Amino acid sequence: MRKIWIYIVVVFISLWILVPIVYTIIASFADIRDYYTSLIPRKYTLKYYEEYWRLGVGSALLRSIQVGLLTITLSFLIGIPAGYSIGRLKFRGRDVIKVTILFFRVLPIVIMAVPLAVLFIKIGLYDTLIGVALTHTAIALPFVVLITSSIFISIPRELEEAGVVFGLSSLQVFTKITLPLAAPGLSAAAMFAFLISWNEVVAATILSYLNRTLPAMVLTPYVMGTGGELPDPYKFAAATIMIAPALVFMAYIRKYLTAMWGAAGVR
Amino acid sequence: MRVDLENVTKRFGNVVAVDKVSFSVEHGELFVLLGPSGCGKTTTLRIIAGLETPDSGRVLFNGRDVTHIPARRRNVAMVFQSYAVWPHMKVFDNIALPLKIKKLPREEIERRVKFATEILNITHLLERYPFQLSGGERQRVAVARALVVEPEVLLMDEPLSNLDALLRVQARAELKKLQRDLKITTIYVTHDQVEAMVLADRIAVMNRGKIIQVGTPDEIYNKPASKFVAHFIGSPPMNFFEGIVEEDAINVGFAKIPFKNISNKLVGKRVVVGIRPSDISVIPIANSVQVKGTTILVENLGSEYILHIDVGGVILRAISKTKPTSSEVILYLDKSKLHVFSEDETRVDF
Repeated sequence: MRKIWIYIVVVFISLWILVPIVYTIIASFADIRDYYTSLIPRKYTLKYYEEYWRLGVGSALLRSIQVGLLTITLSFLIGIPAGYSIGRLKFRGRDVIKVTILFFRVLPIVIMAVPLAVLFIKIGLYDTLIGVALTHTAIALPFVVLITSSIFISIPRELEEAGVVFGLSSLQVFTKITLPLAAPGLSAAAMFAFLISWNEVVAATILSYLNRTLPAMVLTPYVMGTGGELPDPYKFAAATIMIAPALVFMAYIRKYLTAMWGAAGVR
Repeated sequence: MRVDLENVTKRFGNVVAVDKVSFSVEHGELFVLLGPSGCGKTTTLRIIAGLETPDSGRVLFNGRDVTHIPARRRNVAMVFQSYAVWPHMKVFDNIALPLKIKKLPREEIERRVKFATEILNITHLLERYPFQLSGGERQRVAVARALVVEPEVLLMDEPLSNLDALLRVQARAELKKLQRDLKITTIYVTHDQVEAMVLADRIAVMNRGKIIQVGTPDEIYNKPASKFVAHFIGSPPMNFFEGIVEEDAINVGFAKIPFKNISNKLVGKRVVVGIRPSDISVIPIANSVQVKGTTILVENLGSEYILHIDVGGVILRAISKTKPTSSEVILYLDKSKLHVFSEDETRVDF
């Protein structure tokens, strides 16, 4: 009896998530007249996608992936050492630093983006991928630091000490023991950083003009378009374009996320 | 290798974890650090390993000062309480990693891993991951990893405490045999006095960061240097009762225990007298003190009984092979096995 209830809840939650996604994808192919007359469209078209493609969705998609990967790289370069020190080392002012890192999340992105645009124009980073990636790193970094620090806390110290006793240098302990054990958590952090960058639209719109990332690029006709509202199927097509690569990326990285959970809990 | 500690002290904040600890471990010896939890024994071991640096004092390996030499250059091996088997590596890689770090040739690595895993009966586990192993198997992997590096000092931090009772007894005997065969200088930390008695060539009993007594298991058992040691070693624990020293006897209330050669200085002093349950008999023995008492509880251990006997307000535990037939019993306290401790709890010998 309890099992049945669990199934009902599981099915309900799954539908809650899946129905909008599936409907979005279906509607993005719907013929425009059909869409407005019937709930489940019967005539399908690739028109909206073709139009987005003409506007340059392909290269925007590529740029988004590049910015996302750059964001992962940059936020990891700063975030892993920061997370490790906050999680593992005891030093004066640790809690202050922890709070300060979180504090940057308080500032709205719009407020950061406008002065940044001015600055980027001055130093030649405006409308570049690295400029957008740097901004996204600033947004993603607090999460990366918090996630990685809790990962490093969760790794039993004795595993590292065993490395020290058995002749590993500090660097070898980190690369051969700590890092592989942190891998599942780090892939979660990577996923997070990527998705933050992927979905970020305000800073990306303000800080670029020609070389826009996918959300910024898709948003432009969406909002300004023909001076009025776009028909719904265009919006659904835009949403599908946004969802699809993220789903692929998550399915890929999920492998690493689950790969080692079984091994991590040895105590 | 010979290991010496000279006045080693380690503080954590205001807590003195290790307080002026000195002892020497001879080459090939199995030396046990024994004490209750929080007594500083693990910290002492970690100082020897190089995982902690003492605030003062020295650690010497074969007379060479290694106090400030990092752990990885000390050629020690350690078996951790949690085993610290690396969960992301297969058993083979766990055991071989220390050798790979030393850049040993492949054949040599394989030879050593084969040797260690054969002694420990884990050759069939080499391709498994730690989470696929039982606690006992993981413990063996940890020991094998410690053996392959051919350490000059083997450090063990409660390696058996996470095993179930039956396995612990078996693993204890295996460790003892292994250490005797390989003759590796071993320093072993435990809170289990039985384990210490069984394994040790010599035991150092620690309490509150200090070494209370160092000696062979027999010395520790038969001549405990303080009431703490007497109480800590032996199961069931030693009986204690208070007494006052008189000119030719100690008056413990329920009896006067005659003693010769009591020095005048002691007369009138309060003392604590101790005797192990196994040294109290219900059948007459020579050179004993007789005490009448009432049985209030009998614990049946199968092979023997633990009797709780009220002798004039003091409860004594005695071990008996037979179950007493009446509640009124006469106890015979073996006079040669009495331990007397002064008010500051140190041993007094007459």
